[in-house]
Formats: sequence, structure tokens, C-alpha cells
Amino acid sequence: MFLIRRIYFIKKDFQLRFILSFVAIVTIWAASTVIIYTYLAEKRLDSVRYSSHIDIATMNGLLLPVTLGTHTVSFLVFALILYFAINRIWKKLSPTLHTLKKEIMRISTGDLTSEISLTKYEEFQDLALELDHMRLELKNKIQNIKQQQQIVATAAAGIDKTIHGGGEPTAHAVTLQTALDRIKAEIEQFQ
Amino acid sequence: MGLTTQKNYRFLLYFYSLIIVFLGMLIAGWAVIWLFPSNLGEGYHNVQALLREIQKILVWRISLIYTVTSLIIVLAMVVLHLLYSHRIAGPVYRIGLEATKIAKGNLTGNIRFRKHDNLMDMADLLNLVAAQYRGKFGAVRDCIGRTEEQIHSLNQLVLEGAPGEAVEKLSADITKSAGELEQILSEIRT
Repeated sequence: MFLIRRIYFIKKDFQLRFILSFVAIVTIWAASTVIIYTYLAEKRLDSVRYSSHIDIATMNGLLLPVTLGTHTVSFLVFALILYFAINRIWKKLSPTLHTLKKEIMRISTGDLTSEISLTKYEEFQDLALELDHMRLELKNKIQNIKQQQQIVATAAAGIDKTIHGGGEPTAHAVTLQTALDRIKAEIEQFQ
Repeated sequence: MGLTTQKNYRFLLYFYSLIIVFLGMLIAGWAVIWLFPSNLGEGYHNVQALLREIQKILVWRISLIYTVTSLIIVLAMVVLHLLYSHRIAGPVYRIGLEATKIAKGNLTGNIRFRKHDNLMDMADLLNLVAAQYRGKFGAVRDCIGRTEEQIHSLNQLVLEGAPGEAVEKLSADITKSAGELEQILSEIRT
């Protein structure tokens, strides 16, 4: 089942950087195009004005070649810059997301030992923090369960030893039951 | 791995950006031609006079046209890139929310993405985390249930003064269950 989009500006820092990089490219490209186009149009006008014979009768004939030429070259340059800009974003985001995926995979295999962290300049620092918080919470809960499991193991051994020694295992059974109750309480926190 | 996207995501982002710029240039080019007199007139001196007039206004008029067109292009690019960046930012936000839910103990593992969202594999991985721990805790729960029954039976047998053989068997079962619990938990490294 898929959701309907409601809030578009959800990760402001990341999205702002994403958008601004393209806006900067477009702005610089547009300014350069205007400067080059104006210069070439002026030059064209000068060449017509200072020629002894004018064989151009319309504005199309005067500016169209300059307009088409400038726009074609400018468009091709923009296409090239845009291609590199998109690739640059991919190259910047991919290693970070690859690291995070590897970390999630590690957690799924039951390894909660090492911290999830990114280098200072990588994107998605907040996601790394949230994932590490998840790892720490799971780790704490499982460590608590493991502590009680040690008590369970000791109590079970105590029961066995007492029975083989011909004694009453009740005290060990109570300890074991208490430890099991504590484990149950920890497990109950998970839905 | 890395930034896994929907099919053609990168191409479409590139293509739509080029379309916006292309249309902008088309409009600007057309406006330049349209805003100046189409006919230069008759006679050398008349044409010269008109060209002088055109030269006076050429720079600021072209600048004005291109400024307006550039603003429209920038606005369209902002909208396009907002939509496309959201297809990465949205999933990242949702994955963060799901991680917080798991941290709070919710192991239902039900991340829902939008139709065009990226990073589906990351969501699958987090669902896998939830499923793995749900499975482990389920196994721990079963083991505890079994051990509790065994303790209950042991207490009953001790109270009834049952023969040593039955009590010893139950004791061995409890030890086995405790071992199973240890085994399950040892699969998680903390």
C-alpha cells in the first residue's frame, strides 16, 4: 500500500542543498548566456551598421543566427554541466547510504556491538543518529535479558545439583521464576 | 547498493531539467525577436537610424527578457528538484521514524513508502531487522513459557513427593530449556 504525499519539504537541510546546487548552476548559466548573447548581438549589430552595404531586411535576419547559435551552444553546455552535477550528487550520497545499509544489515544479523556513525561532512547525520539510537535501545534491552538469563542458567544448575544431592529445589525454582518474570517484563516492551 | 532509486529517476530528473531550460530559452529567443520591430525599413539611412535605435535599447531589453525568463526557469527548477529531492528525503525521514519505533519496542516492521519513492531496499532491510528481532523474542517467549511449565510441574512433583526419577527428568528438561535460552540470546552480540 502506498501513501499520498503531503509535506514536500521534509528534510529541509538536505533538500535545500539539493535544490540550491541546481539553482546556482541555472543562475550562473543564465547570466553567462545573457552576457555572451548581448555581446554577440551587439557585435552583429555593429558589423551590420558599419558595413557599406546592408542586405538584411528583417529583425529575424539580423538576430536569428546569433540567437540560434548562442542558445544551441549554451544549451549543450548546460546539458553537460547538469549531467556532471547530477552525477556529483549521486557520488556524494551513495557511499553514505551504502554505509547505513551495511550497518542496518549488520544489526539484522544480530550484531549490536559497534556504533553507527558517519563522518562530519556526510549527509543524513540525523538518520545515522536515529539508527544508532535504535541499536543502543535494542542492545540495552538485550543486555538486561542476558543478565537475567545468567541467573536462569545458575538457578537451573542449582536445581539439578540440589535434586541430585537429594535436597529441596524450591529456593532455586523461586529464583529461576523471578528471573523468567523479569525477562518476560523486558520482552513485553516489544510488540 | 548506495543510492538505489526507482527506474529512470536520474534520467527523468535530467530530462525534465533540460526540458525546462529548453522551453525557457525558446520563450526568451522568441521574445527577443518579437519585441523588436520585425521590418528594418527601406533605404540605407532609414535602416541605419533604426539600427542605432535598436542598439540603444538592445542590452537592457535582452537583459530584461532573460532575467524574467531565468526567474521562471529557476522557479520551475525549484519545484522540480523539490519533488525529486523529496523522493529521497521522504524515505530517509520514514526510515528514521521506523528506527525510532523499533527503538521503542515496536517490531511490527511495516514501513510504507510512496509509489515513486527511492531507497525501497533500505526499508526492506529495516523491516528485516524488525522481523529478525521479533522472531528472536518470539523464540525467547516460547522458551520462557516452556520453562515456566517445567518449574510448575517440578514444584508439583516435589510437593507430591514423587519418585526421584521423574524429578530428575524435569530438572534435566529445565537445564535444557535454560541452555536453549542461552543459545537464542548468544546469537545476538551486544
